[in-house]
Amino acid sequence: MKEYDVIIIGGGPAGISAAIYTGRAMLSTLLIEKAAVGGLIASSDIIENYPGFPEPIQPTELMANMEKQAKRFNVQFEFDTVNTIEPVEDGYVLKTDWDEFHARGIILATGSSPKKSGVPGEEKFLGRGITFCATCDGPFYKDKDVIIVGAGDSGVQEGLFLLNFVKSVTFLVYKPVIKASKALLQKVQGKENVRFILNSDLIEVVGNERLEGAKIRNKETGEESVVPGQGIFLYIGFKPNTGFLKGFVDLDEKGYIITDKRMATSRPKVYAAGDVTKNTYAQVAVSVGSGVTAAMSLIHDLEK
Amino acid sequence: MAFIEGDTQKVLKERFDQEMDKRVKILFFSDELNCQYCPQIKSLLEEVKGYTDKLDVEEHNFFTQKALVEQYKLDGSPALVFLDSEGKDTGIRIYGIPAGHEFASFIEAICLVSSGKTKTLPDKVREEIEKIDSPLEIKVFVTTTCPYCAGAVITAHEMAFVNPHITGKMIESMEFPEWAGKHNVYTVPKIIVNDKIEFEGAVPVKEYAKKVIEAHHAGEKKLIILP
Repeated sequence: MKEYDVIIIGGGPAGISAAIYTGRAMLSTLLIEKAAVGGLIASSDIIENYPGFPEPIQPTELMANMEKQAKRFNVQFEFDTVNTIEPVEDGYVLKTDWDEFHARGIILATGSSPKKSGVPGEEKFLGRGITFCATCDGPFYKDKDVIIVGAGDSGVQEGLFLLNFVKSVTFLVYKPVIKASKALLQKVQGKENVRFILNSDLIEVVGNERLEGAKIRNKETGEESVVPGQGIFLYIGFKPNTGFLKGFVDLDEKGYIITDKRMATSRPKVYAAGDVTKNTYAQVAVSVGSGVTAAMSLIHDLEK
Repeated sequence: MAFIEGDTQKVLKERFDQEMDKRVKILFFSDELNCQYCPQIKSLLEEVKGYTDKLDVEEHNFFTQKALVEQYKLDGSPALVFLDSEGKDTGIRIYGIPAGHEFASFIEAICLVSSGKTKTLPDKVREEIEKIDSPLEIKVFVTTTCPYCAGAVITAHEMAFVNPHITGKMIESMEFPEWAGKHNVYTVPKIIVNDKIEFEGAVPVKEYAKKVIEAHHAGEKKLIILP
């Protein structure tokens, strides 16, 4: 079994930031990522609020630099899925699809995934008109009408990107107000091919062979109507990636990991950071901060 | 307008200096009549050539060079074919312009063929992929704005490089709408192995390899034991 001082699960901003710190503290560090380094932010178009970068930067570039920095401190990267974590006398044993590892301490930075809507018609059109990644799939909707469900920062940011290709964007918002920041809203409001439908729920995805639109219901009047569109982009929130952690650390009712200010979980020498933790803001800068806090706390524990 | 600007120029020069060893030849199959991006691909290749003296580029016409098209089993253009220093086909193909995020997979392909070193395949996976003993084709449909697609392309190219039976194709969906339509590509990356097994999104390399191996075995006759 391969042995490490620290194993970090998740290769987004929180996990890599933690790895930079534990690696630099000369602790042997393995970062296990299930898909691709970068985390959820990698699918975003640009970042313009990460301090130190006066011009907008591409998330993939920022994350590739973080990865490079971690590798400079000898952090090892493994692409695999962690299935179980067992406490043993001197740490933890992690079993993955392909391997087994031992760690003295762990940092959980598994992040969150976009939520599905659960409405009728969704499963039929997932990946066939319904998507979560505007940067990936935007070009398929050239000159088409698209619907973005959700008008938080991520929805509006990706809407801005889609406007490079599409004929029109309709934002469907379940609240009577728009949640996105003013800085972002300013860029889309007033455009002829952008409209907001507020206070309405998505109740069905309609279409036969191809997706044809979204059936919605006004929350006040109860009136139902169909918004025509050939693509639906879902930005209705996130769910934490903690399925395999149930029973291992304390989670809140939504599945987020409960931590204290040091990012400690309910298990000794197990810390958590980033979007997977309770009461956080899904921002790169916040994840970097909590990743570093988790790393510093664990470094302190392991040096005792 | 130059494709490679600012910091990328320095990074590219450094990478080629550090990683390139043997010569690489790219065959560019163009189509002067119906190809929107061929002039840009030609300029891009010329520019990249300026950063190393180990890269050769040869342009061929897809419609008139029938013998070559047949030799490399090309089914469309624009297409790039990567040959190693001995002129051997590496199985690496790029259909469409390797711009945007795909510039990364294009540069990786050059470094891979030149250095002979894979980066994404763990040893265990490489060993399993090397065992594949009949022709296998991996199509990776991408868009140039997709941040997760280059990773899927690099893995397909590395699998092709380590096993002469495998062809790894990057396909830019917007330039090949008929292929994308035929394979119901609405989300990328979409990976299709031997037209039998398909999967979407960023998947771990080991999961990717499992699907490739599964597709390889899918054609074999299995002994069915009835209860």
